[in-house]
Amino acid sequence: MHRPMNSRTPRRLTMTNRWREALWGLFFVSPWIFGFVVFSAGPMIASLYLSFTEYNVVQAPMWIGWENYERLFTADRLYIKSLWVTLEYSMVRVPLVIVVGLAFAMLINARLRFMSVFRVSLYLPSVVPLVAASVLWLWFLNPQLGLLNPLIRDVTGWSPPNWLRDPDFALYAIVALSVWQVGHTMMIFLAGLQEIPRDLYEAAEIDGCGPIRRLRHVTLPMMTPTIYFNLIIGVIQSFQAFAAVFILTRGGPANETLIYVVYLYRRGIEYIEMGYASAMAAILVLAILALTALIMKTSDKWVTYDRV
Amino acid sequence: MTASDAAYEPWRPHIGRYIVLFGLSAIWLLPVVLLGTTSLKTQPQVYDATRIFPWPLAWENYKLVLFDSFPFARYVFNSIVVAVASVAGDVLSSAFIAYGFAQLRFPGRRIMFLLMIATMMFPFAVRMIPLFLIFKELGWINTWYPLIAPSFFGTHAFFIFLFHQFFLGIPRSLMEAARIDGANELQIWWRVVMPLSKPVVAVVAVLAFEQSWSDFMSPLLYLNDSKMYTLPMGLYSLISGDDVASNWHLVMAATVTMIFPVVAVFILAQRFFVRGVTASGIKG
Amino acid sequence: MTSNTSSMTRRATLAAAAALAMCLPIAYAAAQTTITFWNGWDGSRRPQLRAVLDAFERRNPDIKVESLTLSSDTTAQRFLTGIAAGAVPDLYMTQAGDFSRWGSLGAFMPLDDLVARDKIDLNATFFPSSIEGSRVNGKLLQFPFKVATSMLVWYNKDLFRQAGLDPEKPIRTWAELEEAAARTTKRSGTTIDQLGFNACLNCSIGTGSENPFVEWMSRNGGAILSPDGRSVAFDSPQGIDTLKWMVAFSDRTAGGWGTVLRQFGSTWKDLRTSFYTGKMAMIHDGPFLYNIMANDAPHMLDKVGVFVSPMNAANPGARQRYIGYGVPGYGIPAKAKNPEAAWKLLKFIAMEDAGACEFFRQQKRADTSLRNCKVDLPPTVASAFVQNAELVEGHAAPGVWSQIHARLQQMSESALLGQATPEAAIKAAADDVRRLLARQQN
Repeated sequence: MHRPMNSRTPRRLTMTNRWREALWGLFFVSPWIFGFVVFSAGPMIASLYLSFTEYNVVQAPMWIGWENYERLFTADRLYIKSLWVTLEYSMVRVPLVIVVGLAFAMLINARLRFMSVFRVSLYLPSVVPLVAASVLWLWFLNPQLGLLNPLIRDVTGWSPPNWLRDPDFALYAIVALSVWQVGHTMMIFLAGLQEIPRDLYEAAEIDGCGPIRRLRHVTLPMMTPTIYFNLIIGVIQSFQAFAAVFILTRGGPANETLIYVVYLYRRGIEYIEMGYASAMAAILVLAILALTALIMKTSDKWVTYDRV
Repeated sequence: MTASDAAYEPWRPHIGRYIVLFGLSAIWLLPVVLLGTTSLKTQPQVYDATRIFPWPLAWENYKLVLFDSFPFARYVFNSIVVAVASVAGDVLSSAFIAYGFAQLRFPGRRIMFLLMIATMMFPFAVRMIPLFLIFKELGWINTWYPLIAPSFFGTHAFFIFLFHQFFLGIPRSLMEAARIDGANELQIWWRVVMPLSKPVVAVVAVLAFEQSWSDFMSPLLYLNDSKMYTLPMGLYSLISGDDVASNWHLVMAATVTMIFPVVAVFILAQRFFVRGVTASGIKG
Repeated sequence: MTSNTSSMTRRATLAAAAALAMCLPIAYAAAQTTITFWNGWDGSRRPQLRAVLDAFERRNPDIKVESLTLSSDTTAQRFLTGIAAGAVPDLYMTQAGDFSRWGSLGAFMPLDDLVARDKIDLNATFFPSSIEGSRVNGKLLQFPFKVATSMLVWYNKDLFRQAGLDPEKPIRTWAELEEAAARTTKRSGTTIDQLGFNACLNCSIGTGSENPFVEWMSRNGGAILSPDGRSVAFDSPQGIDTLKWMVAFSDRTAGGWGTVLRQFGSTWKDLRTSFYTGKMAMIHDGPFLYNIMANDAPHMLDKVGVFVSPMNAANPGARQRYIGYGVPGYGIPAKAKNPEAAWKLLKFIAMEDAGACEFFRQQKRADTSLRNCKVDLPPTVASAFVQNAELVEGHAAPGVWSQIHARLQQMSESALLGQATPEAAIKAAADDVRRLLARQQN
């Protein structure tokens, strides 16, 4: 009982079909709309409002205008410190994870026996939930009770520092945890590598390209979309890092690991300055948006979607 | 023709690669292995870091952690309940919503899609305080609802994105045929599209499980009563007391308990994983 | 027939008895109130507390107590969550810092009326300094469970003997402490094989309300705040002198505090582990270490001695004393659901012999806030504990005390790591604390 459409179908029916499709579309998307308003947009707007108030939960919010923002940038040394720490953390972690992830993916991307064993071994640590991995790290890096330092001492004779308690190394010890959990990134790169058509490599070989030139002219250009994807995800994750730092160092020693969200939590929840913390949150959103936009803007310069 | 089709190559020319991979794998697995061995030590053995293999194996540590010293078995149960509910919510809502974005045209679709992607950039920290106040008004503090409810409303944009990319690859002709047969969109979604989406469902289910199992901030904020704790809070409460210095064997046993189910799920789902990630065209 | 009748009667009687037995607990339970008690008594103290709570339940059969143990890390946040959600406990154990903050926000029920109603003589029951520390704006908002306690110096007698020190001779002055630390520190190059003493506990990553700068400052004739608690007093010559001494102490005995931090850490957990394994000769810790060692490292109990923190004998104005700000205690949140039952528990657990005193007896602590509580102390620690309790001067803490405490920790850390000179560190911290106090008074 469905009439096939042809040029003699009255316009009225086409409009109805468009209406039907639109209604169905909205129907399917409605849970998201509800979730977006209640769990995303609404809270963000409320957070913005709170950032202009002083709010300690026991009493009602009190409007103070731009005061929180002023205090952040003029009277809060620790806030500036947390900005630097977050920046340093991101700038070390993101490239490192991408390079290591890609390198590992290239290593296991071969039709050889036992590759799946290596793949599972390298991937397994990333399956460990972050909280559990942090607890494991806390023990592993303990100079007296963990195995890492005695191992280093026995193998190299060099006396290693107390990683998580040394202001110079603590942040890098936390980055090391991310590198250990590089498996997810590695798998995404692996999927990307396996999509590169073989004929590209064959053509390059015929042209006399050695492995390094193949890497530069075939692999890397074809991987730029995946690198781009991981870059954005990596930056967003780094700016939001919380659980590992909270468990391992809580921001110390000497505030060298005072990453942004840890400081936000401290001001908001531990000192009960929720207006102040909301201002920090607003700035965080701006920072992430700005950085992501920057990466996206410059992406046409180096990301290639076509075949080389 | 892609790289995955042919049979194995001979291994001799690649001996360098094998050596490197073997070394890396050993280093990568070392902490996990030590986790297991430490969980089977007794208290005085914990102080002796260089002794790697304890003997006899203190299996009673697990019994102690699960039932006696700490009610860890309860945390496992709580985590399972929350995870199963969350996974159901995530898979269903993400697939449902993605179908709308991918296959149907409606006003505002592009803007909404962009907003949805943008939510991946909204840190939880920004929404955390007002969300807390919302849940407080609903009376949901100290319940599991804040941990589960958002999953049913597509709050995890990444999962929607995965389904979306996959749905784009489904030939329109399949759906047109079903429409001609008189099926409405809901039936098309459930009877035509979903059965084809098994790889992506597997990927999303596994990722959603891992996300729910590992969620630390939400239980930290919303759960007061330790009886309601899920495993991340349970594990954290173990190490945040002052008496941890001597209890690492128990802490490690607890950690293994937390890791084991996730690892099991991943190993079982491994077959789907690479295929699912590729199929959803994620790199593009 | 007879057997049937009698068996029927028997069955009937049994059924009636069963029904009655089932009804009784139900009727009983209906009259029972369950109150929630949030506290930080973890580890070995948890079962000890449970025993005390059980004794309370026996005395008050209509009340059941549900005890929730919080760690010092998360206790502030839990209470905040509870207040925001309207799900506060009936009785809450405070730390010195968060009590003054919550108290100034009106989160606790004033107890003065209840005290008057039940005719409690506060001065006869508690040490006055602890009551004073439990008041905010004149209102009594909690019962203290201890007096402000100073930290003691616990030492390993074996390591003392090895270094040629007499383990029975207590150390009284800063100079003597430094000598003992120097003699018990063993180094090979830059590696510290054995550490004498870490002069700044919790100065890096740390939780808990103990603050070494406050400790040493008290014994150098100085104070952190003015007596009314409204202005800064630590940017005095004594303050600079104290900080300088802390830096020089680590330099002269161990090659710098940075080295100590890197190799030994500075949190409770890190330092106690070193102490238990014999890698550190002395540790700055509270009286509660005794109880904790009994549980975690019983092998240490025979080996340790303890003395009160030494004073600066080079300063004629210095005395052996500790100025403590705020005391921890138990308070009834303003919106508690069962305040009457909570009040009964509060009296038991803070004032009664079978409650408060028994609890501290089991932990072998001498810092109870009760005048009439006699705790049997092991002879090795008895005189030190008693002396420690007598040198305390307690003050009420300002609302922002926990932020002041954190700021002082940062100040100590930056000076100890050489990131700022002691003068500059003190000046920066004093400016920040002045700002904190000013905001609070608005």
